[in-house]
Amino acid sequence: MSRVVVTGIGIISSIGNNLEETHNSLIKKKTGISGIDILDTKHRGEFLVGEIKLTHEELIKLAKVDKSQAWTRTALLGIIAAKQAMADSKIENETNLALVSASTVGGMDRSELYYKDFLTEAKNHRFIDSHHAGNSTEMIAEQCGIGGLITTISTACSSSLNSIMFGARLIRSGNTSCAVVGGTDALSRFTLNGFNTLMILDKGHCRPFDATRTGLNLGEGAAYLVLEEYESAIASGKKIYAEVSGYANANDAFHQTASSEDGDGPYLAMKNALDIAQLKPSDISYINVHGTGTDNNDLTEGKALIRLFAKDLPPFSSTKAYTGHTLGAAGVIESVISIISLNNKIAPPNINFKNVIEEIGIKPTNELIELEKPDHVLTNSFGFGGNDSSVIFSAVKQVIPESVMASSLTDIPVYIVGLGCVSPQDTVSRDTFLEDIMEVDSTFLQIQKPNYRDYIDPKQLRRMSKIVRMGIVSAKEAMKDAGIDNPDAIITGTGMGCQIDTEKFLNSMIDNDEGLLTPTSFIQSTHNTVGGSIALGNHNHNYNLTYVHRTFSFESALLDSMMLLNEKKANELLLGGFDEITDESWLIKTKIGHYKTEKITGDLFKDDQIGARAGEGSSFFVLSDKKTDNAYAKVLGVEMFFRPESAKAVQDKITIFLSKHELLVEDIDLVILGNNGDTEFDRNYQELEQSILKESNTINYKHLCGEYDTSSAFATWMAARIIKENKIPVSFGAKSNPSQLIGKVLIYNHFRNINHSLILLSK
Amino acid sequence: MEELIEKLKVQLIEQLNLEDMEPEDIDADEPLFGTGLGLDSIDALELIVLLEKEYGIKIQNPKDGQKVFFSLRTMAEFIKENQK
Repeated sequence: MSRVVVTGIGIISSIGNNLEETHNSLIKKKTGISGIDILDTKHRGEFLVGEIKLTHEELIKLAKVDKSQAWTRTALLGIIAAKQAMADSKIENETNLALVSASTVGGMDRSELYYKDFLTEAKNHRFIDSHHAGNSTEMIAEQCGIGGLITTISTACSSSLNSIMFGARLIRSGNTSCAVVGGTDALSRFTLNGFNTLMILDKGHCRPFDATRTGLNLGEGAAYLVLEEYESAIASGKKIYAEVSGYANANDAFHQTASSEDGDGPYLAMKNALDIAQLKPSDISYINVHGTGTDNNDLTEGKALIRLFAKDLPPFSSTKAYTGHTLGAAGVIESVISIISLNNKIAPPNINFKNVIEEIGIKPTNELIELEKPDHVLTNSFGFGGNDSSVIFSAVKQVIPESVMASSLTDIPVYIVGLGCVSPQDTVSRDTFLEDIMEVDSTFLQIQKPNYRDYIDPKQLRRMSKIVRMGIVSAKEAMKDAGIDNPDAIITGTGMGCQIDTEKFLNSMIDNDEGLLTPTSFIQSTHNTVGGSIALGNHNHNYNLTYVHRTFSFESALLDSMMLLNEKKANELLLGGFDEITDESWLIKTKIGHYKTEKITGDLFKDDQIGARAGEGSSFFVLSDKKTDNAYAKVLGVEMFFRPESAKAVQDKITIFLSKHELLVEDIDLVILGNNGDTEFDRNYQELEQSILKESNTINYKHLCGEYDTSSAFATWMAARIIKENKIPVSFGAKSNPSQLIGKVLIYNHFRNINHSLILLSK
Repeated sequence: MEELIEKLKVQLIEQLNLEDMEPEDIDADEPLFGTGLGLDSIDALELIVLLEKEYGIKIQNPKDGQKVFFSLRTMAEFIKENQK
């Protein structure tokens, strides 16, 4: 197993536009918290924020990008920080370079300005497609020439610690040798008003860990780290900032927004990170705590610190009184601060602290102090949905502990041992298999509603929108099918997330001019709501991650699942992919030609209207490292590629992917293709069917579920059942019941020739 | 007072999306939180907005909500006392 080191840093926040400025602000106790000057909100003068005092135009200049393109503030901040990190590490356009980014609300900073235009006038429609959470990641990849795997994580305020963790694991597992990891989030009215409904914004300067604290200050920023494999970083003589030695994610499983009384999730995240790093609590020299300044966080985080560290509690501080709470960027910004601490043997002061919280009696360091043994620093980030993460950075030692080296890469087979599916077809029951196709009476496909009350307590049900409901139903069905009560991890993917709640909060914020807003739809709008709700309902404290990168979302979750099983961190885990459609989100996407506007009467695949027929659904799987009696199929692999240069490049990707599994195209018994009725982009599939797939048996699936970002989860559900039952559903007509055994199935899907993915299953 | 309580029952059911409940299912004196109706901190925030929207009364500190929202009767009393 490789060791992972940091060889480049880039950062921008309200305390500085680069690493040096950030360092200086910290040691001079210079806060970035101020009144609101840039964000156009009616709360100007009411709240203080950590705002970067650069306008949109100034950021475009600083990012050195073409001003005629549609940029979100979130993407610009990300590009600025990622470019710095890559320049610092002297890495250039490497085809193997991965990018793992994080964001909470994606392109919301522009969407909230133009949302009403999206629905009506043909103005600002170019910002429609910059709304999704993976947009800033793609902009960074394009601007920085990143050619490897790209993906985006969104687990509310812990998002970017999880991207550091995933990037480190990609390197450790040999999936890549270097990765740019981090996150970006701009201030938005959406989040400012959202946190205001929770009544946890301090109107003055926030006072983390102070007895008189009354809430947080929001902030904005971005930071990225270049992570590399240790040996190659040493060989190329690179400057090494730190080693990523430990990381963990755990779920508090207590409440959607509040932490449990004793901080169970925070305790587990810190403890598990120490275990990965093979360290004791007394080895840690400094902790950069989450410390938001809310009543609940600081009390429960404090309790978790005492539980784990007891008398060995090292100096700790929250730096949110400098930067504000930068949400999806907080984890990586505070990682950079932790690395500054490690490299300069200092603990940055927890400014604004005066009074010890009586219940916990622990005092953060409120002066700049020198650290005695700066070997290991730990940083925490906790988020809605009970999503808690910790990462440990260590000074690089030449001597590698034997135990670290002893654990080597494994190649554990991964089996689908249970599944559950809610879709526009009758798929909840496993007794039937697409024998009868539902007649479609609308322009887009909607799920067949299961009886939710059979699965969810009405008291919980009242806050859940469609996506959460169908997610829970399909997850419960998958667990029932596999005969398990509680998985070792819950890993999910969603392209657009909770659209109903997002629309609800956004519309009422705009319609009511930022007044009289209620918290429920804001809380429920976070991308990790489904994963968090499953954990909450099952009291599941295990690893829980949500990937939010368009048609890479489910694929990234699948890749993570396979890695986790191979790391032996799980034996049985829950994997899911889901998206929901609303009238409004459908209408918006018709404006830019993504979706069809009229009902389809004949064959979807011969329809000449622009766009695809939209759909929705949720498919969950229990993956196991053991083949059970109920096993459906073995998952051999998953691959994602971004913007291939040509049709030939796609063909090459497919043959190379298959050859990694020692297979040729002719070894594949069935290919499931993502044709969606959009003639412009379905051409990609036709080209394949006229070239390398000429002799292959192919079927489509989107006439059944419609086009949505995680529809490949539906295709995977279909493939698993085809393999287990060794039959193609009768509704597929002539293609049904091939003479030979269906042993190997390949799924190929792409989104508008941008995000392409391959999933390979076998008997 | 009783009239206000009845009105509050309807508003409570609507604001908190208590799908299964009818106004007569809620007792004016039973605790809304914990053992009674089983509401939680998010519901309390929803009720703060309800008071502001429907009755023009602002609660600044969410902690004050605990006493006000003990039951429908305490809520009605609070409205009577604070409404101009």
